[in-house]
Amino acid sequence: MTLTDRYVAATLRSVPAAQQADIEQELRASVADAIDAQVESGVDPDVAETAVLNDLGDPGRLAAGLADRPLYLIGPELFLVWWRLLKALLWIALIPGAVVLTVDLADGVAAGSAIVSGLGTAISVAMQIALWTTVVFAVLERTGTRPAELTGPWTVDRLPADHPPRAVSLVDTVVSVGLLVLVAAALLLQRTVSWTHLPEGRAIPVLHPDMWPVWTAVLVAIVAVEIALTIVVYARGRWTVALATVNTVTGALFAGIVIVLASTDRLVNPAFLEASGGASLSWLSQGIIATTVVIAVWDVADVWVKTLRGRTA
Amino acid sequence: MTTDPEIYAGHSQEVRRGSVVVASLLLLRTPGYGYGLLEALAAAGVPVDANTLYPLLRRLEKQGLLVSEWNTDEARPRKFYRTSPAGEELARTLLGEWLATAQSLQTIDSQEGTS
Repeated sequence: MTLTDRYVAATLRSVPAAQQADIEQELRASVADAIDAQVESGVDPDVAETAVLNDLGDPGRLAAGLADRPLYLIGPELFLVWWRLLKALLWIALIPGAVVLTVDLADGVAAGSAIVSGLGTAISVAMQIALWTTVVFAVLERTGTRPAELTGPWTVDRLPADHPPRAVSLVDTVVSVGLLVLVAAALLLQRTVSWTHLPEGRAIPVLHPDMWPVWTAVLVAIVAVEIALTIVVYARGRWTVALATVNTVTGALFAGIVIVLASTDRLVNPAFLEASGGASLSWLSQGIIATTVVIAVWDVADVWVKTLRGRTA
Repeated sequence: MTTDPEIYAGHSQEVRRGSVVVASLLLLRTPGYGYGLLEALAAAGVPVDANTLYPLLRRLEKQGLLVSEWNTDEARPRKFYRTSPAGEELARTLLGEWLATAQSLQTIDSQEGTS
């Protein structure tokens, strides 16, 4: 088998079967013509063959040219449509991640491994989203779809909304951060500083003793994320879809944990309730659950309203 | 000031890109085959790589600007391409644009940057 035979075989490998015979014959004739021309000017035939084939270059590239096939996955025409859609879709991966994290925590899995499995879920969902979005766009690229067919031609209407700087005020931010710090402090200090005390003067924790340290740490961590989020929102000057999604996830996590704990009587310390002479535990739990749901839903909805209003303004 | 050879090569390729199509369509008014056309283009001052020209011929044929026919009379069968009437018309239009562009550039040059 000559070098030319091997080159032709390598080229034909990635050419549609219907064109193979035609391309093979023409390629062989072209290569032979080029070798003959060099031999006539005194070059050794083997040297000439090598030089001609080296000039033709990678057979895969030549085959793609002959078959009129693109040598890229997603070309410049579709790239931006693909990239924008991908960025928007990737946020979805946070939701199953948060669900797994919450379920694991509710099942009593250690906080560390719950975070790892939540993160693992989010990453694998993100990879699936990236893979399939890219596959679809690679197919669209090969079927000759143009972006105008997907999204219509670009007009100035698509320019990002002109936001007034600082749609989020400093006062709002400071108050929010202050409240969140207060919540974190209350979670951490309730074990030692309490309204009620044992006869010998030791404080009775407000929260169930089993909440320490894992559940308390998880709740404080969520509050820490919310503090960071509040600061980021102030820095950005407004709520974006991404920030609102994070807010939804943290809000749902916090509320979910509180509701699960309250409904299984693992939130409030029964000893505290007894000492303070309050209502029965089941009434208190239902009150806490109802309040938590209302606050969480109101906060999530409020942020989304702000976000979407900011986009269309 | 001398320009970086790589930068020059990139821009030079941009300027020449369309010329291969026009030259091929004009030359193939007389039927020709792949390697013969490669030589003829080089001789005419429009050199092109073989791995650029061969795919181009297939594309022009697919677009109906060239028609092809196998010549099996000789010992080595060759695929001969000939410019179709549509191809010739397109080549003339493109040549006109090419000349008009050259004219415009010359006019701009002669004004010596009076912006």
